[in-house]
This record gives sequence, C-alpha cells and structure tokens, in this order.
Amino acid sequence: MRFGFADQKKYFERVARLNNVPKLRWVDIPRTGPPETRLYPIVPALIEALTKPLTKEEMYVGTYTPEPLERYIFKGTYDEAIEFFNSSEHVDSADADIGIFNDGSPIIPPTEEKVAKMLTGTSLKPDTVVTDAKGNPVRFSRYETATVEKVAIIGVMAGCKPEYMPLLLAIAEQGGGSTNCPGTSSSHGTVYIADGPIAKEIGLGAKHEFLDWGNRANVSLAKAARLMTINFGGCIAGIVRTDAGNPLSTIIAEDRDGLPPGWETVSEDYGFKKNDSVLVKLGTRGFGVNEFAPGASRRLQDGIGSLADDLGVTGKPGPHNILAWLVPRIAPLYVNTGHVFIMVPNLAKPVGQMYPTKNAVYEWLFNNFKATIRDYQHHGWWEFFTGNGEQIEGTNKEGLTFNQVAKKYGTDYRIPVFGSRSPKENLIVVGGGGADECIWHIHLLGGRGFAVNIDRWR
Amino acid sequence: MKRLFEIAAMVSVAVWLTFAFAAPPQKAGKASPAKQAGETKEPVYQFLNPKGIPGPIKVQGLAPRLDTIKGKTIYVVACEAGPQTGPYLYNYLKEHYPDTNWVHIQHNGMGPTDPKTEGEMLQKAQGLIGGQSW
Repeated sequence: MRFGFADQKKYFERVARLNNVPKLRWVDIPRTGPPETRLYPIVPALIEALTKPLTKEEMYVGTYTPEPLERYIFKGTYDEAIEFFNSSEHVDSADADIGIFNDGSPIIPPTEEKVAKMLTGTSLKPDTVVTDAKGNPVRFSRYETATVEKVAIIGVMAGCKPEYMPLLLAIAEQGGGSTNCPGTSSSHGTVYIADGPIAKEIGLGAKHEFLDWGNRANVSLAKAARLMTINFGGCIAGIVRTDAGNPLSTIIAEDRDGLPPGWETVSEDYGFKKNDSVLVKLGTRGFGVNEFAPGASRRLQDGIGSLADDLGVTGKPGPHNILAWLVPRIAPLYVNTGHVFIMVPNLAKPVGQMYPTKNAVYEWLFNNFKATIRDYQHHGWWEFFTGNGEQIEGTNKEGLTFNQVAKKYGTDYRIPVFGSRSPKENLIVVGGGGADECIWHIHLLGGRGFAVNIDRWR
Repeated sequence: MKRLFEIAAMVSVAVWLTFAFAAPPQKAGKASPAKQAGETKEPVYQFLNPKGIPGPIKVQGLAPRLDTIKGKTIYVVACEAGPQTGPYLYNYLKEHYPDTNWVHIQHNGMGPTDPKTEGEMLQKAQGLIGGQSW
C-alpha cells in the first residue's frame, strides 16, 4: 500500500494502473503539520491496508482494455462546436474553470476538411504512429499514443498552417508541451528551440521579439504543444500539476544570421549537420530576463561605465565578455546543473570575438564558476538531486559520491555551477532584436535535453 | 511470488511518482442530444476526436493481505525528497508495534535505488508501506 497527499491521488491511481496494480491501496496524508497531527493519525489506516482482506476487484487478474476511441467527438454546427471545444470544468484544487480540450484560449474546431488540409503538410499517412528515433511509439503521460492524424487535429485546433506539420510532429515526438505533466508540480516550463532550414520555411521568428506574441508560427506551435499535453496526455491544470505553474511555454528559432563567426548552429551543437532541421526541448526551472540599461553593454565594449569598472577593464576597449559580469550574479541560485543563455546578436558578437565557438564558452562556464560542496549542502535541491549526497559527484575521477568526496577532500571541494559532469550541459542560443540590452537565462531541469530530426516528419 | 510482484510494482510506482504523476484520462465533454442533432439550419459537421489513444494494460491482482502484522517483516519506504516523514513513521511503528520487524529505507532524491537494498527488500518483505512524502 501507499500513502501520499490527497491532491496526488489521481496521479497515483493512473501510475498504479500503468504498473499493473490499479487497485493498489492508498491512504491520504495532510501536506503540512507536525507528525502528531499529520502522520501518526493515519497509522491505523496503514495497518488496515496491510491486513484487510482483498475485495474481488482487488484480486482481479486479467487485461484492462479501455473502450476504443470514437473517431468523432462531437456533431453539430460550427458555432456549437466552438462552444464544445472551448468548454471548461471547475477544478476544485485550482478553484477555477479549466479547459477540457483547450488551454484557456480559443480553439478552432477540427472538421474533416480542415484536418485533411493540415495533413497535406506531411507525406506521412494519417494512421502513422508517432514514434521516437528508435521506432518506439511515443507515449504521452507515459500511456497514450498518437498518430499523424491526431497531430493534425491538434494543429487545426491550435491555428497552425499545414506547412507546420513536420514541426508539429517533431513536437509530438518530443512528448508534447510539458516536461512534467502529469506531475506533482508545475514550476517547470517548456521552451522549444527549432533550428535549420524549416525555421525560415515556415516563418518561425528568430529576431525581434521572438519570445513574444505576434508571429503565428511561434504562437500557434507553442499552443499546439500545450494541446498535445492536454488532449493526448490528459493533463489538467490544477489537478495533475499542483504548484504555481510556469509561464514559459514557447517555441523559438535561433537567428543563424546573428551567430558570431565560427559559432555552431543549434543543430551542429547537438551533433547534427548544419542543413538538418532539428527541434530541442528544454525543461526549464528558474528563469529570468537580465536586462541591461540602454547603452550599458556598449559602454562596456568601449571600456567605460559601470560594467567596465566592475570587470576592471576601464580604459580598455573591447571585446569584453558581458557574461563575465552577469554569470557571477546568477550563479549562487542554481548549482551543478545546465543553464541556457539566450543572447541577442549584438551581445553575442563580442563574446564570439573572445571565444571562437559556443563550446569554448561552455568550457569557460564549466571550469571557471564553482561552488563548494558545503554551498550545495545548504541548497534546496541537495536532497533531491544528490540523494542527500549519495549520488555520484560528476567531476571527480574516482567515481565518488558527494558524501565520499566531502569526506575525503572536505566540504570545500569545488564543484561546477554550470553543469554537473560536462560543459555541454549548457546551451547558448542567439536570437532576438537588434538592441543589446537583454540576455535570457534559463536554469534547466535535468540537462539540455536532446534534439530530434524534424526532416523525418516532412 | 505474487507479493514479490506487488512489492516490485510498488517500487516501480514509487519511482514513477518521483517525477511522473499521472491522472486518468479526463472525461470528454458531451453535448446534449438536442445540440448533437443540430437545432439550427446551419450546416452540421462531425468533429474529430483529439484525445490520445489508450492501450490495453495487464492487471495483476494485489497480493493476499496479512492476517496479522505480528512477527512479520514490513518495509517502510519513504520515497523522494525529504526525511520529514519516513524516519518519524518508522520510529512510531517500531515503538507502537514492537512485535513486527520494521525495516526502514529512506530513498531520497532522483537517483537509482540501491540494487542491493532493493534486492533484499524483494526477498524479505512480507508487506510494504510506501510513502510519497515530498
């Protein structure tokens, strides 16, 4: 039997079913309070769960076969369908009405005709199952599968154009628009980076305001990713995600024209060829826009002003690395994990003059910014990511755990801030406008992920 | 054997729950029959179903329950982050149910379960209490 928080029971039921024991017994426990009021009162229920004879349902052995999905979900006029697909239901835990098929923004009802048109964006047959690169069916919320036609339905609902289909299918291959849905908390967001020829083919924004609204490809593809999570994977905001949420749910392209000479494209950074179109999915935790006062970065390059003074380069014309000013200020918050920097071209340019490749910047980040094990022990993620120090520390050659390293070398032993094992846990993406005032910084959830090949979905 | 399977399944569930809590498929909204028929003279369409495709699942029944916990070996596995539950529960059970052989495993964080510990548990456990305890 198992006990857990009442608001996690629905997740538990589903996971138990997927692990072949759908009737696994469960006891609620309050989230907060001392053991006397929170924990000890449930002990009789725990004992009962171990000893109360099984019911007929609990003893059942066999195959659970869900009812086949109906091909059509609604019949009516177009206006009625708009009401249907944009309907919501009250979610107590969110104390709000949450969309059933939608993400809270309007949905275009998927008629046969619209879906058939969407399917012209790929050469694949409608009944082709979405698989990963190894041919395994992709499972949404670790259960449901999807076909090319299902993805086209989502594309219609989100307002995509047929030419977006390869990218839509790559998003599906990456599991839709969440890294943690269903999940216990929703402090994780999702950022997709699309790179390669397809970005320009479909007009995916890579320049001015590319993280913002206004461009149909950026907005509708991000929406489609969310709709996959909702419809394919059964994610219900406020039920299967139970924290404050995360506003990062976006898709952008890298501005290849803005890359400093010699810097790798995202596709090359992930081991693909430059002419390959790829999609990277980033699971994000903390994030923030680091905005510099107008002209501040230019003054740094001229060797004047506050940033130059801080870096000790007053009177010395650039190039200067603005990350050297920024990074120490964000380093203490997130330790021993991958980071992403989304840099506008004008800020990337002087960095590129100092570091000929992105890899060189990753090495600089990994090797030059360290925290001590003691710092990490006082960090909120210590228990979670290191298992209270029992996981392997990534840089020592002896394969020691954090605790073993601390015992052998002391807690002053220094570990990387940017990455845990390899510089390539970090990622730089160049894009945005022609100004020079903004670097987005994203703290990654579990590394920088992997890229999938969009071209196989054409 | 069945109990071992259940314990193995529970361990698997515990690991899943670390990051991957899931909910049952949500109820598809249904329009009223009148609306389905289309009350206006506007064209009536059929709209395609966007839901993901569920597959069959093999169901394993639960292991028989214990007639008593006295004299039995029961594991208390408090999973995921935070020692705020497991040790307290273990100590309480040990104090209030001294005739039972309680074994405590505090499985913190995201890392893999120690295979040795897990192997021992699968061999020895006659019952298991798994805790979420974030």
